[in-house]
Amino acid sequence: MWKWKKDKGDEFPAQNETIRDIMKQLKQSKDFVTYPIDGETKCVLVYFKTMVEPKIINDRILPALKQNALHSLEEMKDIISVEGLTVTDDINDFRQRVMQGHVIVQMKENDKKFLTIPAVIAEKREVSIPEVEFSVVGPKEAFVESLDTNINLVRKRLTLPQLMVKELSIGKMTKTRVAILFVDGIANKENVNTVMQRLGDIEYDQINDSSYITQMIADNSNSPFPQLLDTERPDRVTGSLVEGKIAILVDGSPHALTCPTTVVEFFSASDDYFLPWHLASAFRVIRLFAVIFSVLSTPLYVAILTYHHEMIPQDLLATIVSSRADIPFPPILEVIVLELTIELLREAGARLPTKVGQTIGIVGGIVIGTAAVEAGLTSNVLLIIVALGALASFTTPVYQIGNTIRLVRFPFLIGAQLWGLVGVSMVMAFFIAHLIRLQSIGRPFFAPIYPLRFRDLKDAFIRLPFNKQSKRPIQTRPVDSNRFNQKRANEKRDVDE
Amino acid sequence: MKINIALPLLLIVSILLTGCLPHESVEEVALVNLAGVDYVDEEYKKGTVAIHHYGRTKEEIPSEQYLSYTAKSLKEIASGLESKSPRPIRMGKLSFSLYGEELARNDLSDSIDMLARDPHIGRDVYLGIVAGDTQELMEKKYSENETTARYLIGLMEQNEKNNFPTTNLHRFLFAYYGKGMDGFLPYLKSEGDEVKIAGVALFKEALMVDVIPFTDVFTFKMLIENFNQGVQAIEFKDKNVVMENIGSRVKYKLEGNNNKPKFIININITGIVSEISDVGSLEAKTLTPEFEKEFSKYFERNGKKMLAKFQEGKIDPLGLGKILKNRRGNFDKKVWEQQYPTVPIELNIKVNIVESGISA
Amino acid sequence: MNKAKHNVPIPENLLITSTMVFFLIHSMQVGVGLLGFERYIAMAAGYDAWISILIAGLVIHLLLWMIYRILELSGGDLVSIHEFVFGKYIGSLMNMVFSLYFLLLSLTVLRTFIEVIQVWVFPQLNVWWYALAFLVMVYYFVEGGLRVITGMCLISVLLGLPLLLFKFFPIQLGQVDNLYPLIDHSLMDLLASAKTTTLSFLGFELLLMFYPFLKNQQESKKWAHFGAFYTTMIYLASALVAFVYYSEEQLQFVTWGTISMWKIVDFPFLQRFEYAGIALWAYVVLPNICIGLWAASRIPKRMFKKIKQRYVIWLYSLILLVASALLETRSMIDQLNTITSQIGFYVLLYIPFLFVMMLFMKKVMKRDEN
Repeated sequence: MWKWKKDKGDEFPAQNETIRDIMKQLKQSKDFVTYPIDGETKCVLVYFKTMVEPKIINDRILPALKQNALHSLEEMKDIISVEGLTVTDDINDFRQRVMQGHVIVQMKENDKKFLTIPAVIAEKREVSIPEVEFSVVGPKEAFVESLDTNINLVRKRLTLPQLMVKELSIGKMTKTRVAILFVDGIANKENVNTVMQRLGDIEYDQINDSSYITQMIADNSNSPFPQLLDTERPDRVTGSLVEGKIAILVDGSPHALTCPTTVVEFFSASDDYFLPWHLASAFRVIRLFAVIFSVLSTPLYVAILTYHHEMIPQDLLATIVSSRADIPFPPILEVIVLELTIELLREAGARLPTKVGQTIGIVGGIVIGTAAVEAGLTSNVLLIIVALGALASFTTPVYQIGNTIRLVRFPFLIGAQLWGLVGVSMVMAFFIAHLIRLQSIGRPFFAPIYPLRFRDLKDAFIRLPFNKQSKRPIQTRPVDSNRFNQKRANEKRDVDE
Repeated sequence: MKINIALPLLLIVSILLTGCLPHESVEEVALVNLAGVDYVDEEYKKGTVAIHHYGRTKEEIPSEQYLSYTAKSLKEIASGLESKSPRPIRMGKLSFSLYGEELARNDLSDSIDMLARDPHIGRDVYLGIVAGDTQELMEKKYSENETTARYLIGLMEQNEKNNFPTTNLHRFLFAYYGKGMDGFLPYLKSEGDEVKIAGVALFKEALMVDVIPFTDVFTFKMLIENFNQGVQAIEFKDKNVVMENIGSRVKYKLEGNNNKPKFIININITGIVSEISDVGSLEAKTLTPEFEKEFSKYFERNGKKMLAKFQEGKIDPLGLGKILKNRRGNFDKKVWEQQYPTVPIELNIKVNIVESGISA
Repeated sequence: MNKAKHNVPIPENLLITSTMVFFLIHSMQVGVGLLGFERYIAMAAGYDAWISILIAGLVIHLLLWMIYRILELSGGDLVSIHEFVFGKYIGSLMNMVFSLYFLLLSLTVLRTFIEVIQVWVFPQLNVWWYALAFLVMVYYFVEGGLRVITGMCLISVLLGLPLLLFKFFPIQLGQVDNLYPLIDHSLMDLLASAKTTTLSFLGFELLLMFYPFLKNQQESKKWAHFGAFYTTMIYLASALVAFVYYSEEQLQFVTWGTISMWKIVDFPFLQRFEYAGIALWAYVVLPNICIGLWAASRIPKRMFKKIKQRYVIWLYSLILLVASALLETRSMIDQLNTITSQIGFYVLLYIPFLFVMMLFMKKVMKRDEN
């Protein structure tokens, strides 16, 4: 975790300003409007025309001001039918509100007292279908960039008075709104406090996305593993909240964060809960194997071909040797070149404008791969392995861990080249040590494997049916850990009863 | 984290620079599948290896290259062979090791020892004794699209399922090192364009002493292990009757004490008579008890002959000494060796024929 | 001297649950020894040696019970026990001896494991670099504290389970007749063989160090005994499989029975499992080395309040590195194993002595109080 050194002195906008100074500064901007009204009512409106909804000004504010003779801000406040009006003389309020898209009304320019009228343009993307965590069945709503919409998406799924929403504003310049959601009475107070405190300690000039927060409040910021789970699915967030987890929503980011999390949670998809439990468990196990395959396949190829060819059965050996016969490079170079090619395609695919770009990237990969095999630069056996490995790394439901897996196989390759299988197992031991040491908001990240928690294993590598999930996971240390009464769920009917 | 980033980095770089081991990728080494050792004279041995050449494409038929070298010891042969090969020779994938009969009749212990000691060599390597010269046998081409090594392995795998008892390096070492038992190996013969298993070569320690002809191998296997495949033909009233084994169980019983042991070997064999020439099917059914009697008579006679031969030659491929040692304890190898030729062995064979073909 | 004084307070979040004692005890007992102990135990008692394993197992249970009694009477760990029983100076001396003994255990395991790699996989392995890389990893574990080491123990036991399945291959080919129940050796032979088994069973005495870290000490007893029992069963199973697969005299020619047996594992996609088996064995030896190093480095920290454990780990790791690089030949490593086995045997003898001393001192104290 980063330790933020708080020093109040160097706040970016200087504190000792007057309204006149601010106005002077604001007037330099082309979209800042000073609009004096000189009718029955004499006053000045100031606002950013790019930030306010013209409809509100035209339909609500201007008619009210022009038709009535008003002599004080308080009178105006009563007569203008817009929600959330305030009359104040706080200079900080002035600065903040005008920047957020409020219309400020003063009796005359540079007056100390002013009225603020919220007239923010409700410019936001429609709630659309999830693109990163798409699932065939289940809800098709994904978070958008607006915090209020996102909170609404959660609240309408979880209509509970106990659902608490705490809000902070983080980022010296961006002043980003960050909301912390949890269910009071389930979520552990200690976890909430940890999150609140870590968020409060952040001192950085900008927060452009929730991934900033992930990196800043992570327990070990040098780890390649994400220690907070990010999701764009409101249903997943709701599920986590009910389990006693804490969700963090960031204004401007369509991804929510949930914590505390565990390493196995990154391999569970929301589909797992929409399918019958046996199918869901089978798919989850397949996903785990895919990840293991993706990480270990090429290192094992290098290790076995370079050092332990005795391990390859005779018939398989014929296939491998004849495919490698014309290759001028040792296995390690061959693998690194091919892996880098795949990474290159992936990176290019991600930068291309549409999702089609990714498909083109993969197709390009196949073309390049085939050409490389025909030119005798790589063997087709390896091409199959690398392509399968790349494919397998896409099976992770959470995008972030997919990135980790991409990177993690390179240390394994080094180990394989150095000491063969012994090297691979050493690198693996390093990663196990790292995972055991990792924590997510102070809770062990490697759970439920270590610490071994049988109760949590019900929803880890496999997902048992809902009637077996009577307890919330220990990982979150929930205040109330009972989902339902297990005894009643287990009552079985006798034959012919 | 307390460890500085620079330190592990430095470490990784230095390990990368210096820690690398000498290595060759699979296609850069000469993989030996088949090796043979021949007797030249008192001092010299000739070693031959078959190096597998994998095809460059799927269609290309794999071939073998044969190298041979004559020297005093196997180590010298190994380095001599290396001097003839363009790529380093690796014995890791050795799957069949052949020895000339002459060598086996002189002493096989050095060769066996070398196989047992090399950590890169597997334990399920086939060993075989060749009548004549191993190099000759190896260099012949037996199949259009298979190498000699592949061909010989196929031959052994196929035969082990049927009439031939299971043998490999481990089994041989088991008997070779163990007290109160002797090993046996397949006895291969090259005839024209073919190679065949001509029988079982019997060993006394590391010396080959005798051969059981292939016609008796079924009986030998019956005495050694349980199995449920293989066929045996006998003459029955001047006609040829073939029994297909579907389950043969052997049990050893030991009576008496260390000084006067007596072995009883009970064999229960269940079979199908599948091929009867010139016997009507109705007749065949009524003949079943007779077949049973005839077969058990044949097996008993054959088995007893074999046991007598073992005792006469003072070899113990059945491991009777081991049985005595395991069950009575206080085993004295010298005493046993004296006892063995005269120890009473009873052989009871019960043949049970359950079916006689599908045409009723 | 009252009981409260030698209690060792451990912060709540560093405690480990009592179930984990199972893994700690078991994974500390199983190490490189398991790869080749069959030959040594069969040397004295032949194929009756399985009885010796059972005898050794029983003795271990007895000693484990004694250790628990000692710990219960004192409430502290080895350091406070020594200070209580022998006083400050002799106690400190004994503590240092034990610290070095734990270090020796680590060294033996580390060097023997490297030896296995050298013999079976890489004859040209550069011991310096490999030991260095290994020790960096060990440092990363030990620096994480006992909690992380315990995690590794758990993982090592879980990863070791599939390795047990490979015993199936030799059983298939083996001759069960080898195990004909007949006791052909005298009690002395069996005891001699049981003594050889000691090195394999060593490690449970580390309980003397990590006892204060246990959350529920009463309940942990049961798990500790389970752990020791499981170890005995694994040794027994391994020995029986080896006895079935090899003939009695043949076994004397096989230095690493288990590794040789991995050679016959044969799948359509994989043969010759020994290479993978040895690589995976790193997980089995890792907890050994980690706990050994942890306990060895904890003793100085407990004795002198000012010494930071981290620096002791640094120092000891350095010693391990240099020592394992200096032990070059096969015979030196053999000697190391013999010496460790001898010392380990004396340590086992020392436990009953400590037990009696503890009882005696308690009695004396009681009389003094009265």
